[in-house]
Amino acid sequence: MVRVAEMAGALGLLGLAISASSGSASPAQQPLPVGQARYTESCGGCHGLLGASVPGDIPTLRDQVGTFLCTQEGRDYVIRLPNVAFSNMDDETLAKTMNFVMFDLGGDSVPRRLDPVRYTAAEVGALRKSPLKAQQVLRMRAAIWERATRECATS
Amino acid sequence: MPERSGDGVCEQFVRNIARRTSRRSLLSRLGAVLVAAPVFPLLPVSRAGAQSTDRPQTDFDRNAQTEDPNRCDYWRHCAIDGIICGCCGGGPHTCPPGSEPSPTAWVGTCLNPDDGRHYLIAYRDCCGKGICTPTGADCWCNETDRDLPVYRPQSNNDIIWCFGNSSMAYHCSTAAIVGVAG
Repeated sequence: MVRVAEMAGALGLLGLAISASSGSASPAQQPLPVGQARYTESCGGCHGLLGASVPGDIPTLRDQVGTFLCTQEGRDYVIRLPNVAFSNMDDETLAKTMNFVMFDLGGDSVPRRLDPVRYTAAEVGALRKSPLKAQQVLRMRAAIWERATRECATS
Repeated sequence: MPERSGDGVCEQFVRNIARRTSRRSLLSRLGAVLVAAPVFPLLPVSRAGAQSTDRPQTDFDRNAQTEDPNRCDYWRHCAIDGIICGCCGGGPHTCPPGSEPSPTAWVGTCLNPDDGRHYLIAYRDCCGKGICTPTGADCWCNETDRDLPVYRPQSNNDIIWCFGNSSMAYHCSTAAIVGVAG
């Protein structure tokens, strides 16, 4: 039952009513914004509906991923990640999805003092034309993360 | 001078039109409108709404039912691949005793025929216990809405979604509503 409570608790955090019997949700339930809906459908299964699932194996996004916004290379890097660049979404939808990831899930990690702008479809469309290769991801991630955290600390 | 009633004004108006317009020209104009109508796009407001909510109906959608959650054609099961946990002592969002929910899940989008809305459904596998022997006859499902081939593994539901568990042993799959699709 503890496990059940954990599952229900996680879903409850999203403000979602779960109906076990009739199978339909409360009429008051509003559609999720497009970015959050597409994150849930395409990313949240692994990264977690709230941006955290299996720390160590699957990168935690919640209150962390916004750090990449501290540098231009970090901002570009997240869009060039293969699962982002190759995602089955048009540029407009991907921009909304990544804005949810970076600015909403990013939470406290978003560098508010730098006042980063939101991604546009044009920016995302240009970046996703240069997806990272597997070896690039592994080589670049640590260095980009380190520079971003340093920049965040000094900005 | 006789007082003109509302009927009289209307009659005069229609007679004036009739005098100036032949039936043939009316028919030709009406025909032109009917032929040309599909060429012009709908109002942008209407199209914007359609983009966010319209999803083509699938074969599963057309045959889905909302009464029995322990059958494969239950509406939430449009993209389930596995054994329904409700047939194994669990429920639509509870794992049977002795198994544990995976921290990762496959997420699908299913149409609820009762209210016509699409819902995001998390198919969270229950793991750490041998495969369930279901109690019902229609509990082992392979529904494929939005399922992509296995070479797109993150969008494929054939995979056992027990990542992150201490054991990859698959027992059954739940189907919890996690949101209304935008």
